[in-house]
Amino acid sequence: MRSKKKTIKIISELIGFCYDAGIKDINVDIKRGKKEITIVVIGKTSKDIEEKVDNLRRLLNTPLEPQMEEYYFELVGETGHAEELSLVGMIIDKAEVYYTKDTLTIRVYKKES
Amino acid sequence: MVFSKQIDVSVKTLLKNRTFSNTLTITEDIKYLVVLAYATFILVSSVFFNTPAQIMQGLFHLTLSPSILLSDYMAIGNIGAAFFNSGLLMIVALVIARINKAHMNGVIIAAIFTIGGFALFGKNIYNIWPIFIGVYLYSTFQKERFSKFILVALFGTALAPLVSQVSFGLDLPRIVSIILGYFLGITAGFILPPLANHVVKFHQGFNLYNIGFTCGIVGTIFMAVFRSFGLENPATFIVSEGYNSILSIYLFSLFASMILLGIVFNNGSFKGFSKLMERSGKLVSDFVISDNFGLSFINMGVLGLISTCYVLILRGNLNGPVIGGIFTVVGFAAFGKHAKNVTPIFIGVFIASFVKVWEVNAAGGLLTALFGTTLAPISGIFGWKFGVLAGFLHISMVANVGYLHGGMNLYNNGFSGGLVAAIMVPIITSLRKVDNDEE
Repeated sequence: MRSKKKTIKIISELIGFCYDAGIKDINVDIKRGKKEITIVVIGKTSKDIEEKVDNLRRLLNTPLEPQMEEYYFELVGETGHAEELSLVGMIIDKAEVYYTKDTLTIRVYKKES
Repeated sequence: MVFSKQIDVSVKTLLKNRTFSNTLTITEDIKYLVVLAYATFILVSSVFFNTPAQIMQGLFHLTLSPSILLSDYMAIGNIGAAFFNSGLLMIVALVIARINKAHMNGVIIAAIFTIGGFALFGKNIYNIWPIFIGVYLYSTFQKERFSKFILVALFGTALAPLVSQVSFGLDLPRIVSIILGYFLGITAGFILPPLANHVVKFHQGFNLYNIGFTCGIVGTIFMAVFRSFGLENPATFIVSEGYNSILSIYLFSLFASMILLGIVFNNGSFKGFSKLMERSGKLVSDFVISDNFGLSFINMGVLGLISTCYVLILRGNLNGPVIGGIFTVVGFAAFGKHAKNVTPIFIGVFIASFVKVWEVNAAGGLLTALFGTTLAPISGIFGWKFGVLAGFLHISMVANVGYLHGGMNLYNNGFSGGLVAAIMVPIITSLRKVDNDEE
């Protein structure tokens, strides 16, 4: 139950970023493995969002901080702001962000606790 | 002495490294050593003020006091005992963080300095353990590692006076009151983790002392039950005065050293400090992660100096609670606060003190200004005018919520700040949304 809620909130946060970045075509893919959940968000845009993507990549690669999860997790939501994206970075295990021409791909991995 | 040597060697190594490279590598070990050095200094500095025998006697008195707001350990014990208690509890917090392999980031620095600050007026070596035990039992119940809950455990010691008040403040047989005090403390610790996570939504991360709001609710429930049994906490206002000269030298030296150390760790410069000051401070803004350890220490020193000057310029008294407030501001200077987002709060409280019924340099007014900086993210996100308004509202709110928990929640300003933020943020956001829509 807790894992489900966390996954949904992480997805909301990533979609919030896409909205703020002006991406209009967004696809979300979730793979629920036994030990790990993988979230893939793919967005298509004609705008140049390279600077925003660089910032997103930096925030999602914030080092893992397990103590933040149980205290601040509820702040993760739909804002897509730096503070919340940084928090997502602190509670996920790995993030990959690719941006080529008009396609943004965000891949996030979180181990099941 | 051995520790000082280690620090000396570490700093030398850093300076040596700097000769070969512009990028300093600050390991977790070094970060821990730096914070441990400050905790040790605060503990050892107790002998500047009192003899070891006086310190032990003072420590005995403060440990056996009910410790509810406002109990200045510098008055109940003595200055030396209060600083000894502060340094001791900082070391305990540091050891807990280290055992649980927590990174020495902004939030851990904030937690350690907050514990050190409140160990000058409410937390002691007797009353913090039940909270830790309660949180530990919760983590066991959830089959999770305790390391995930150490922030709740460390900040949750805000409810430590619940343990002391029941143990030493109620008219019960001592053995019964001690067992009951520990039982209630463990119960409080057990219910804090789910509540702390839940209530953070209420203020949306605009109240930095989130656990203060949580503990305010928990304390209110406990106090309501106490009152239903005819038990009432006495109004307590024990504060010391008359030590400004020696304590201001002490604090200025401490904070100046933080700035110098920060400069050393930041490659001998202030580079990046202006960028840090542009951050909103909203939860979660960890300056050690987003900026670096050196800049965080520069910011801590700067805010320490500003806070101390605020008290001295207004001719207020430096005592346990006020220094506790300054230490808390300093700790959170690594986790959300900087001069730009706290100054509007100071101004708001200052203005309110003139037009309302409180004296600006009385202990209450000073503590409200210092701890009111829990609302710094409001000025950080919405601008200085709203920060001033937040400070203005906060002083009224904080004067009214202490009764609810009977002084058993040390983070009374966190409780009040949560309410102010929860009221202000949706209103400001909706008004700004209208503006945006019109655009």
